[in-house]
Amino acid sequence: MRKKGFLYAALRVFDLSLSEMLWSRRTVFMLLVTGVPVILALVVRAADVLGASTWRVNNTAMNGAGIFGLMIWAFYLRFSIPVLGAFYGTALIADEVEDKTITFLFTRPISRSAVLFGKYLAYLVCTMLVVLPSVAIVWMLVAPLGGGSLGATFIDLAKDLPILAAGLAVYGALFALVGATFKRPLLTGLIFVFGFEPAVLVFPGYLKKLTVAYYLQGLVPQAMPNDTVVSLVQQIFREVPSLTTSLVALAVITGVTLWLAGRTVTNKEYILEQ
Amino acid sequence: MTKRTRYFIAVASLIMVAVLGTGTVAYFNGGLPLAAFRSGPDDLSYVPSDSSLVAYANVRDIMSSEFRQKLRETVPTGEARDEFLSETGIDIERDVNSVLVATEASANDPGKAPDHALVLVRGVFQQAQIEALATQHGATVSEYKGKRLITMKPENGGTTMAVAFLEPALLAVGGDAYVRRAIDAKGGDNITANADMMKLINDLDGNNNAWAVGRVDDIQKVTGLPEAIKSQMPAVQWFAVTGHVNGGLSGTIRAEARDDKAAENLRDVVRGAMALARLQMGHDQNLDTVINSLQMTGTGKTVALSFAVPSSVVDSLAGFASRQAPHVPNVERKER
Repeated sequence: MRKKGFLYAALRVFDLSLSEMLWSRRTVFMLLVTGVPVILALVVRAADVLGASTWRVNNTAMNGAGIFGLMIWAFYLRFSIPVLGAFYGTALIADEVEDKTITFLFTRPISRSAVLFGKYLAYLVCTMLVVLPSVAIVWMLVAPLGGGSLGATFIDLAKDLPILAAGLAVYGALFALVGATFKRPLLTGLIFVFGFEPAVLVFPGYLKKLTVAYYLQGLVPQAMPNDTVVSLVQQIFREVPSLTTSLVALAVITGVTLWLAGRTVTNKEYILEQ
Repeated sequence: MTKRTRYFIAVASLIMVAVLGTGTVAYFNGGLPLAAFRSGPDDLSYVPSDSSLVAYANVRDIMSSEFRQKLRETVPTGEARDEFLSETGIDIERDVNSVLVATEASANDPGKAPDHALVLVRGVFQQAQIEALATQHGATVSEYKGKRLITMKPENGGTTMAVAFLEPALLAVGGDAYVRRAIDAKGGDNITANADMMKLINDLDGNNNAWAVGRVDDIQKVTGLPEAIKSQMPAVQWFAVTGHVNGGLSGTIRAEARDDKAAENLRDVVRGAMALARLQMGHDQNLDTVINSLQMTGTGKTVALSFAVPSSVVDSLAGFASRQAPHVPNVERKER
């Protein structure tokens, strides 16, 4: 049987995987992660409508733009994006191995890397369909607080959405490689997200250039909140790469890790446990 | 792709289109009714459009605040206040509702500063009593475009000062030319037509009872700042300071930089200063509270630093001031 073209094959896998991914138990977790900020924004907005006068964070009055910036950092950039990347990215191939269904995919007349790429596309669409509307709803609810206006903060939202999408793409590609390489990929991914990245960003030096957060956080229009001691230390030693450096680095990380993941899946011999 | 997946994609896409569409309309219209759009106090319609600094204080709100009560315990001001009350019929604490101050962009000569400043006071005024007092001191009363205008030329030949009754409850005080321009401004060429200034005013938090916004290059001319500071200021184009006085004092200082790079540099400077301040922590609990309240925010060209002075700090400052001040017998206030 003749092998189909790479893109055609990837799109077929994407079509098959999207529904499977969207209606899986993992999506419940994703809805929870992205639903909390929406619920919080709803509560804050309702309190504002009922007459709460000033919003304070760390004893400081904040307007809508400030609260939205804080939520982007705390809920999405530092938590949802890397965590969703780790949960979904590591599972792209690992789930098929665990369910022992990888044989069915790999016996089709399509390249193994097309399978991975199709699943990666499905992950991107699936997570963006949930994360981006969540951010948009939070913005609608929070931006007008404290005399703020939608018009004044729209540019921030317009920048935040592609940055978060880029974050999902980069973390997804990186963890797809982790999923294809390591035996316990989720644990490795979570150690990277909650251990390596925050630790390295705190110290001065070149190591932070080996993280995704360094390039991603440099793009965010809102200033980093100094809500914890770690954030404060991060701010002191923070270097912000230029826009070009950040974009090139993120593109390179995505491209290289995705290519390496495809290569690993192609060359690896999967022995299913009986 | 299953049917419910298609529905899910359609709903998510619909949310995005609706939000981005609303945002685009809001961005190009400068706000939406939904966005709690405000346009500052009505008195702005008397401020000439080329004013470089506008500051406002809701005196009534501040005077009735707990913060004011605390300051009053420390700083007795009875005698001077009673003298002013008997001469003009104005009780500063009770009769003044708000004060709006504006300065002109051309105020580059500090010696002529009063000529370029305008104070709009909203409150309760005894017009006849004020006119009588002014004429007693050599002022002349005339009319300009239907408004009563009291003008007084100082004996040393300085700037002619004027007081105008713009409305029954609105008084304008300032240089004669500026006060006349304020009367003219009501017709149309006022600050509400200045898009840059109004953008800053509209962005102010409506809960603050004092604020000031201005263009930095114009302020530089007025104040004659030291060269070292002036050299750093071109990076900042606009500034806005807002404050809320209640039990304590909280506020935000916001600067609009020339470009994103200048703003990032400014953020670095503020971060450094905040880090330095935090190194001093641990000696004084009150100071620690204030330093902990410092919060830097801002996006793009905007840099904002918010702060809060809690009531406990005000209490201890008041206690310190009363220990330092020489004992002055408190003059009993006359009730009106």
